[in-house]
Amino acid sequence: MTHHRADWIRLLKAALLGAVVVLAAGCAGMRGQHATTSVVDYLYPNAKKEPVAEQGIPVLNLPMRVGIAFVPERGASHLTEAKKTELLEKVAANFKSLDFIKSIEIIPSAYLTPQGGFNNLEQIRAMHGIETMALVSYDQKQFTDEGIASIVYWTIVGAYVVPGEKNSTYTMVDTVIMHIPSRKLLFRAPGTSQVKGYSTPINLSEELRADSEKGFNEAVDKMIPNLNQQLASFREKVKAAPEEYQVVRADGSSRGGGSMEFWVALLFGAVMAGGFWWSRRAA
Amino acid sequence: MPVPRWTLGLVAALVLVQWVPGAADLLAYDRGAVLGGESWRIVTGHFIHYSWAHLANNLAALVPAAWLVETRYRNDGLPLVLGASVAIGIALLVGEPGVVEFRGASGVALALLGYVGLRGLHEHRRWRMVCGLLLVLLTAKLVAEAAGWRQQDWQHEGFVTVWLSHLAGAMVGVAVYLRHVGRNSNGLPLASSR
Repeated sequence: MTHHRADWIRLLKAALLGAVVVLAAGCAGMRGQHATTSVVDYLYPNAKKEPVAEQGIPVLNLPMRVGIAFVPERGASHLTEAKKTELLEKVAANFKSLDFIKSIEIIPSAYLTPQGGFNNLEQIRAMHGIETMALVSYDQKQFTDEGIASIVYWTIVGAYVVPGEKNSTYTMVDTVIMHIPSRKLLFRAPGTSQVKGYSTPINLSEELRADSEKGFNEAVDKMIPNLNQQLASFREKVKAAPEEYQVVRADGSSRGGGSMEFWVALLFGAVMAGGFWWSRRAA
Repeated sequence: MPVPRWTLGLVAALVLVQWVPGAADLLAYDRGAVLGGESWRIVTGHFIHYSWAHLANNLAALVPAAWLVETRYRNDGLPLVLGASVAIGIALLVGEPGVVEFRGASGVALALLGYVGLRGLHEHRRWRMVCGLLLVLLTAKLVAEAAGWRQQDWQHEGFVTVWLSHLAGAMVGVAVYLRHVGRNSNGLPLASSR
């Protein structure tokens, strides 16, 4: 009887040890999901086969009509159309006040074909009457690790009340401004964010979705000042290198200069200097 | 011969603002900014240039003109430079609403050139001949520009020459000369005021 009881105790100890090992292995587990879109994949789907021809220098017609859209996903969309519109409106609002931008059109995702390339952009250009397009791409990774608190999940109740899931969400949003007729990238700016949180296994997907939205909001908020900075640099670049960008103002306005022609200036200078020397010789 | 300190100072200032990054953003004539209250740009815009080539071209005429004014008619140097800057700025604001940005000292150079030419008409014969030639060239340039002639196209630098700035500058030269004539109409000699 005593031996029989001792065997039971050993069996129970072994089972408990096994459960702890299994739980510990579960605690060390990591799951993740990745959502990404790529401007390169959208614009140059066959880049290896067909190098894109040089289209000449960009002619920027001011004030500009600009389109803004998310680069289309190749698979299922990670963001809802409503969320995309909300984020794009946030970016667009920042530029509406600029004097050289006439309008910003938010282009719905349905108008962009995955791997559509410049042919797709040309279609959008014709439909919306835009020449410049802001393409927003993103890369978001979410990781879920099980912390030490997840050991209480075996109580079943613990899985409902103890937030033992450690979630990390890394988001990068990147906007490239493309001039469609010349197929030139004018400038680009990124924004990044990192969101950390905890959840129970039961509301894990809900928390991850909330973290994902928060990540996009924060990344876009960080991208907007970067876009402003890059825009200011681009304006300087246009002024400093007019041979690389031609600016045409539709309202007839222009950059003016007070400039002497080289030979005329030289002639005036020569007349004054020569005349001064000649008149002094006689005096 | 005295060192033309004001002329050298003016050249140094023009080179300095061309060299200092960000100076142009703060000082160039920007119609929107001027109308928004940044009125100093009316004056300072003339001392900013789009490029070193643009600056060099203007200096080729500005330096000898400023040097002549400083060495012969020093008291009129400041009214000419300031008067031309203000007059050209206002002329652009009123007469050229399409010019959203302006840089360049050629209008100021023409004010000095016109003044030197007119004052020289009251001096000795040879200098009078030189100044007469100068005035003929100046008038020919203004008339040709009014007719649309441009010896040099600045489109590659991203701007167009504004004729009104030259006309306004030359007019300031005439106005300062007439003020001088008016002050000396009591029979005092019109030659060098130094």
